[in-house]
Amino acid sequence: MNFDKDARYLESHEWAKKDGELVACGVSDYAQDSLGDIVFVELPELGSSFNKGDAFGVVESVKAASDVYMPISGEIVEINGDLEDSPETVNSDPFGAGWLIKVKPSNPDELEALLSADDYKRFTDGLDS
Amino acid sequence: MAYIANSDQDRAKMLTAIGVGSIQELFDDIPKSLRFPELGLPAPYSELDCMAELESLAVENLSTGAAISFLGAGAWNHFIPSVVPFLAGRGEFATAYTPYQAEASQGTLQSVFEYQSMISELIGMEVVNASHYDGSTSLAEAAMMSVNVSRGKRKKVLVSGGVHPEYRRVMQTYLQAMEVELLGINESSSPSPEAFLEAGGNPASTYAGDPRAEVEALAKAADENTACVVVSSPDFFGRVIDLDGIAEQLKPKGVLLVVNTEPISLAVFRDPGSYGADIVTGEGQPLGIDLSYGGPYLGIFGTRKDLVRKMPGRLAGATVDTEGSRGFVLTLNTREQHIRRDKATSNICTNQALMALRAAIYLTAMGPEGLKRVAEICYHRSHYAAERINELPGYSVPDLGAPVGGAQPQSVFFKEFVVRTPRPAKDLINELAEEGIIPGLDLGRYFPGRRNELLIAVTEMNSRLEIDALVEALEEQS
Amino acid sequence: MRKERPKLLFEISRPGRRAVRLPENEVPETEIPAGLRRKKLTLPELSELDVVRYFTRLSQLNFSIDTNFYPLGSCTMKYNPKLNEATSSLEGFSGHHPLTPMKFSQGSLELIYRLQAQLSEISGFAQASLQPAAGAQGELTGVLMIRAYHTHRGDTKRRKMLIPDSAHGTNPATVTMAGYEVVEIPSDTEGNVDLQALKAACDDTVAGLMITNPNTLGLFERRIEEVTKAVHDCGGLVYGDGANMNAILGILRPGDVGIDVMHFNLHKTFSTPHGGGGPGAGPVATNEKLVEFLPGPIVEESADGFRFHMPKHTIGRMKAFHGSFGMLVRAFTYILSNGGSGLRELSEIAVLNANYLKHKVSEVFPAKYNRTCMHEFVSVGKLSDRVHTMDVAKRLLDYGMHAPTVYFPLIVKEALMIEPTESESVETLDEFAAVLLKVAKEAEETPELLEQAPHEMPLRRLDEVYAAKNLVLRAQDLAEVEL
Repeated sequence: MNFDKDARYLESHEWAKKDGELVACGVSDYAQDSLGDIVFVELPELGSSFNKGDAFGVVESVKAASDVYMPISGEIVEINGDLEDSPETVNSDPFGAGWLIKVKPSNPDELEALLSADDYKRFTDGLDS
Repeated sequence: MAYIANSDQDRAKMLTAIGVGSIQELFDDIPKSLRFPELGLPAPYSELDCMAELESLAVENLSTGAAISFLGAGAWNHFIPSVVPFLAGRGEFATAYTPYQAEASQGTLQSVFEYQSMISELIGMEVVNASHYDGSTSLAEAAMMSVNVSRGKRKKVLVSGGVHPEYRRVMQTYLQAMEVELLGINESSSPSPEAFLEAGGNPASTYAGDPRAEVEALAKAADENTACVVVSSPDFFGRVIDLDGIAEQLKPKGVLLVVNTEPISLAVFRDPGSYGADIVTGEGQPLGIDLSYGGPYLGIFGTRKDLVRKMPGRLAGATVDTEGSRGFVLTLNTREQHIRRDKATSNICTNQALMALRAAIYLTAMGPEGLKRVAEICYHRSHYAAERINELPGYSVPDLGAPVGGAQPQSVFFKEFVVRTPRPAKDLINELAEEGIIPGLDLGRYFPGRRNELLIAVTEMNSRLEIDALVEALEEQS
Repeated sequence: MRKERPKLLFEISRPGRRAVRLPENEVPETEIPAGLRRKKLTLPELSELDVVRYFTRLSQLNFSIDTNFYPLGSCTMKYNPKLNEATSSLEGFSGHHPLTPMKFSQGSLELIYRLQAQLSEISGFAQASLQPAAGAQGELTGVLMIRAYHTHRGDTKRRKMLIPDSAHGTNPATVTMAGYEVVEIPSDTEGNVDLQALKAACDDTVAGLMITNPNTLGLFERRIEEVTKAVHDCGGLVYGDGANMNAILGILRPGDVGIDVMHFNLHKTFSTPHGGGGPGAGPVATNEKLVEFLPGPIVEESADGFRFHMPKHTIGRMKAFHGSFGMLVRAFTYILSNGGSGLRELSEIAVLNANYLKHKVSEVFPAKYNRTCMHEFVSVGKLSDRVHTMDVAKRLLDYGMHAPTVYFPLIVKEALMIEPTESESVETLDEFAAVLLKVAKEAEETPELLEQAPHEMPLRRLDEVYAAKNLVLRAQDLAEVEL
């Protein structure tokens, strides 16, 4: 199981990472592993705005559909269009090519309040026991 | 007991094996004072007595087999080829469960796939689900889906007065908790269920003018708060509506066009996909399903592929096995209640699979030419009947352009038409039924202002002789 | 030998073949306006023998009650008596149009009336409505009735419906459709509703509770009366999901323990065939509190015979016409055949069979909760890190046994839910137990045999991921994706 050291996490298994002025978001390795083969990703409309904790999309495998939540408030300025044809990228590279959205944060400080990689790892260890 | 295998000896042996003294002990968890109530039901009937009892009830009904019937209005007396009940009655189909274990259910799954394929062709939609309970619940779920497509933001559903009054009532039941308003033309607010019932049905359905003009008005009235416009074609009164250009008017406003249709008519009339419908529903009963006093029937439901994830109901899809052979599975299950629970597209679980199978067998047996022939016979014979009745003194058929109560434009109808009668339709029906003819439906049943109107359905089951007998009987009543 | 699977209809269709001879038109023709005319219709063209052979071969690819043991938990796959098929096929019923005037429909109306009374008697309620077409629709009916009841009393702040975490997915999905929020109540260590948690959740925003009893673990809620009282005390009503009614016919009447409204699954408890997924029928019954909110029409007896009637504050119609009538005829026939005493015997033996089977497989597949079960029990199917419940399920198919329900209820990881029903003989139960134990042994010795199962079926294991990604949902799509 990988835990990207540069990313911050939610307990609902999303990650957020600084990308210049923007914040990239996706789902963790732990999340993709427990969902299994991902067959569909539903992403929000460009230009829409969400608050931290809002559901912005859905990641679907054959056995589960999971809402994904905003790690940070802001406007959606990029979505990962490649996932439409190859949603399995979320499985193979969840922290890289499998990113979901890029957000222009309305309150960049929110990022620091999220779980660190170590804290998130400890949290997931607790889930499996 | 006939339906239990284990004898008293078996039972004793089993109790010993599990170490329990009596069967009663297995129920110790149940509140003692309430355990084993005496049920006020008769003693078991023998198979002979049971059959006799049911036969004695069945003969009390004036069925289509015992009468000359022109009843339609949502359920029609159509020919059912012998292969349909024979094949659908096979235990391997009838006594299987939902195909959760795909490898042990390929018969059901492939037949559902064939059903989806043939209905898709018929209604002109890219995706067809494995069925709903009947036409009315399909339509209600289509309205709900439209609201869900707008992510719950649009709270109005505009409904044509040509929609079956019972369907509209079912939509009202389904939508009552979603705070969605069902509105017709000239309705400023959704009538309460009570008011709706007191009106005897759909308050907007006294509408008898040009159905195309009504749909145009609905399309114009649709706004950014409207989830969909719901139209029926053929409508409740049998009229086929020209819906060309309506979808184009709705699309810029983000409003979906939902069309409820009748499947046999689509053998000769344009499919709703050809004029841009977003969701198509219909009652599949004409496709080889018994009248059976209203059910079980078949709810047809189809939509565009880009809306498939918002669609309710089960779906069969093709796939491969580990050796690369083609097979079928239930797919996109994540939309459904057993996975998505409170976020599912609908709560539907059990559907009408065996009825969908009947429809698949029916369409296969009929083929394109057979289905077209049935549709053409319905069309020609209903027009023959309408023309003849229109000539009778005291009767008129408005859809033929009859000048009753002002100029009425001519409408196209498929197999049903409205007849204005010289006496209350209810009285006519009661008198003719004594002679073994059910001349149609009393429109006063749904619309208090239309007591002197009959809705007559003519299908391939009504020979020219039967039609002539009806005309003669009506003439005697004028 | 693996059976040959038929091709699809469009692959065997040949232009000009016909299966049905239709009558002549007999009357003058009327022109269809060109603008409304359909241009092209493509359907399969087959001879009658082609049609019969195609669908017969398809049928032979199915497992069914008539051909296989089918211990699918929660689905009550009991024998479907053929007498029911005979009675429902009587032309007086099958050819009866739903809009026939009531005067000429007295047979069907009487049957509905009597079945309403029978179901009320069996469940301990005042009145039943046979409108709902399936269990899930019965649930929607009941929750809408509860909603209408509160609204009618001007009590509009109730927004929540309590649901145990062991519930069927239809319960929460229904609650959403009925405009309420779901509040999940955990289960306790005995597999029953956690009474403390329930009591803590009960307040004046609670519309009610949906409860399945026996629950989906196959266990009876021992403190059912305390459960219903807690909900009533906060002003809520209790909905009973009748999915597991097959355990308690003539044993307990849900109306006697504080349930206010419930549905029956006629296709489970009352032996109507499941048809590969439907049709079902989901009548609801209720007590005096909710009688006037029932969906209609329901049938009442009057001086002029039987007639339809709409309850005063009805939530409306659930479907067009009068319910899934053909299924009602079958259920009515079944109730007559069994009588009051016979119904109780059915439940007794359903419970005996389940406890016997639970005992027979307990060494390898012990029930998750070690209590006397009702009509079904839940074990864990996962046998090792390599062999999961799904593998066990697929291997059972190779032995001609349908798999139990798997991965449900959700509160038991890798659940294997087994319901033998009363129909099966002790020999069949012994055979199934032996096969299940043999499969467990295979899992130890040759796990790949299970991982790759099934081996003896018409197809090997099917790829659900491929299906979900490619979405080939009709034969027309095969032009784009080659399969």
